[in-house]
Amino acid sequence: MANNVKKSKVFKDNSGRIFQVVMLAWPILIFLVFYVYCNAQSLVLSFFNLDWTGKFTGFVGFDNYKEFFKMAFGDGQLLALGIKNSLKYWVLCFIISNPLYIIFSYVIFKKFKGHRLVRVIVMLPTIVSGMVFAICVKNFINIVIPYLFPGTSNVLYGEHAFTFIITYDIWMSFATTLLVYPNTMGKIPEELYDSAKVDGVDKSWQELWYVILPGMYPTLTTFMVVGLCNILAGSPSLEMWYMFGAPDSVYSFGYYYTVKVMTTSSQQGYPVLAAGGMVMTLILVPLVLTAKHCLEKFGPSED
Amino acid sequence: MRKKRKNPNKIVEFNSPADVIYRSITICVLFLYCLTLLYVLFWLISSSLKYYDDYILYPLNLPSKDRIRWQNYVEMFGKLNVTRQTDKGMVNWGILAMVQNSIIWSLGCSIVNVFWNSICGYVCAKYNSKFTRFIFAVGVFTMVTPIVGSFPSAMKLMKDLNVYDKMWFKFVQGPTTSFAGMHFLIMYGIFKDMPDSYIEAVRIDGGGHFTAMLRVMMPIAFPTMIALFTLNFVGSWNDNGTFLIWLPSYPNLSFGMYYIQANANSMQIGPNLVLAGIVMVSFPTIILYFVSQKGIMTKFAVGGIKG
Repeated sequence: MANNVKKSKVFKDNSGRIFQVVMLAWPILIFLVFYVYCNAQSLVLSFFNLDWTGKFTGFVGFDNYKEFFKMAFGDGQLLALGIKNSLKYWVLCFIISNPLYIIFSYVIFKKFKGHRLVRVIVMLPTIVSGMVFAICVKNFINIVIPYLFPGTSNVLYGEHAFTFIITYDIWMSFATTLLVYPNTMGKIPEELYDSAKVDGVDKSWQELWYVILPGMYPTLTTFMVVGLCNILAGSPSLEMWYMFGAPDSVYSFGYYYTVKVMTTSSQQGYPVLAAGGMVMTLILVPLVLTAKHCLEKFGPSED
Repeated sequence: MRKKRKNPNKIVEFNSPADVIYRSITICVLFLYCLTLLYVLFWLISSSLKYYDDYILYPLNLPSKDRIRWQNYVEMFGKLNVTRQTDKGMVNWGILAMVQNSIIWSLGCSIVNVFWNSICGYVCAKYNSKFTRFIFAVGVFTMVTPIVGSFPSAMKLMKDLNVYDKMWFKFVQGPTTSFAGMHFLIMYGIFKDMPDSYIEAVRIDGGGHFTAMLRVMMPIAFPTMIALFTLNFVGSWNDNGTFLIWLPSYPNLSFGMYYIQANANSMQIGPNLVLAGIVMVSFPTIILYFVSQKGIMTKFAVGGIKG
C-alpha cells in the first residue's frame, strides 16, 4: 500500500523499535517453544528410542525411518492405507469443492432475493458445530435409513463409508468460503469491471473468467496453498464419527497419528511416528512451495 | 491507490438466456442446499421432543400434540455428566461444571486469540521494519509449510513441561503462531488499510505508540475484532477436539455431548435424549450468531500471502 512505502520518522525512532519488540516478544517466545522447538524435537526424536515414560534410551540411527517405510509402503499396512486415503480425499474434495465454491460465491456476490438468508444458513455448520451435525446425521443414519430401506447395513461401517465421509465433508465445507469469497469479489476495484465492459464482457461466465477470477486470485491462491498443506490430514470428521475406532477403510494419515498417540499411555511408539512426520514433511514442503510458486507465477492477471 | 468500488450494491446483471438459466439453476441448488441443512436441524429438534417409541417407530414424523415430551430436556439435564480416566485419575464432571468450563474456555480463548492476532496484525501492518517484515515472512512460511507428524513431539513437550492437561496454561500460551492464519491476515488487512496519518497525529500531539494503538487504531478496528471474537467464541464453545486430546480433565459441554453420544448405550441414554442434549448445548451459540451475524457477514475478506 502506498501509505506504507514511505514511513515518517515517528515509526523509526527508538521508541518505535522498542514498541515492536515488546509487542511481539510473547508471540515470538511461544512460537519458538511450541513450533520451532517442538518440530526440532520431532527431528531429534526420530533418531532415538524412548522408554515407556518418555526418556531417551539410545541413538538408533535411521532404524525408525526404516520401520516407518515398512509401515508406510508395505502391503496391507494401515498407515499405507491412511496415506492413500488422505491423498484420495484431498484430490476429490479439491476437484469437487472448488468450482462449487466459486460458482456459488459468484451468485451470492451478484445478489438475489434471499441471498442474505442463504449466507446466514450456510454458516450453520460452523455456528452449530460440526459435531452437532455429525451426531444428528449419525442418528439419522442409524434410525431413518433402516426405516426407509430395511436390511441395509450401516453406511458408516460398510463398503461405502469412505465415499460417505467425503460427501459429508463437502456438504459441510461451504461456510468459510461462502463468507470470504463474495466479500473478496466485492473488493475488486470498480475500474476492472468498467474496463471489462468496454472490452465487450457481457456475459456472466466472461465476467467470472476475465474479471472475478483474476481479481480474487490472491485469495484463491491462499486457500489452495493452505489446503495443500493439509493434504495428509484427511477428513476432519473421523474422530466425530468414530472417536478412536474407525474401520480401516476410512483411515487417514492424520487420524492414524491421533489414534496411535491417544490409545497408548506409553511414549515408546513416538520416535517411529516422528520419523514418519519428517519423511512426509520432506516430501510435502518442496511440493507445496513449488505449487505456491507456480500459482503465483502462472496465474491469471488483471491486465 | 486503486479506486475501490464506489457503490457495492450497483452490480451489473447480465440477462442473456444462458445467464438467466445459469443464475436460476445455481440459486435453486443453493436453496436446496440450505434446505438440507435446515432439515437436519428441524429433524434434530422434532426428534428431541419425541418419546423413545415414537422416535424408533416413526423417525420421520413430527411428534403429535399429545406426544410432545419436554421431559427429555429435564432428564438430559440430570444425566449430562462425564466420568473419564485421565492422567490425573478418574474425573467426574456434572453439567454445571461443564457449563462453567465452556464459559471460561470460550471467553478466555476468544479474548486471548483476538488480542494476539490484533497486536501482531497491527505491528506487522503499521511498522515497516526489517524485523516486522521478517516476522510476517515467518508467519507466511508457517502457513505454507506443511510440517506433519509433530503431534507426538508436541504431546511429549507438553508432558515434559508439566503443562499437559492444564487449562490456565492454554490461556497464557495463546495461539502457537499469532502472526499467521486467517484471523491474523484479516486484522493485518484492516490495519494496512488505515491511514498512517492517524498515528502520526497522535505522535505529534505527544502521545506514545501504545496510545496510538489503543486509543486510535484499535477502536477503529473494533467492529472487526468483535466479529472475530464472536467467531472465536462460537468455535471454542463447540470445540471438543481440544478436550479430547489436550484437556481431558476439563470437559466442556460440547465434549460432554460427544462423550455421551459415544457412550450412550453403556450409560442407558436413548437417542432422543442425546438429541435433546445437543439442542441445549447448541442454543447459546445460535442465539449469539443471530445477534451478531450482520457484523460477521460483512467483515471478512482475505488477501494473498506473498512472502
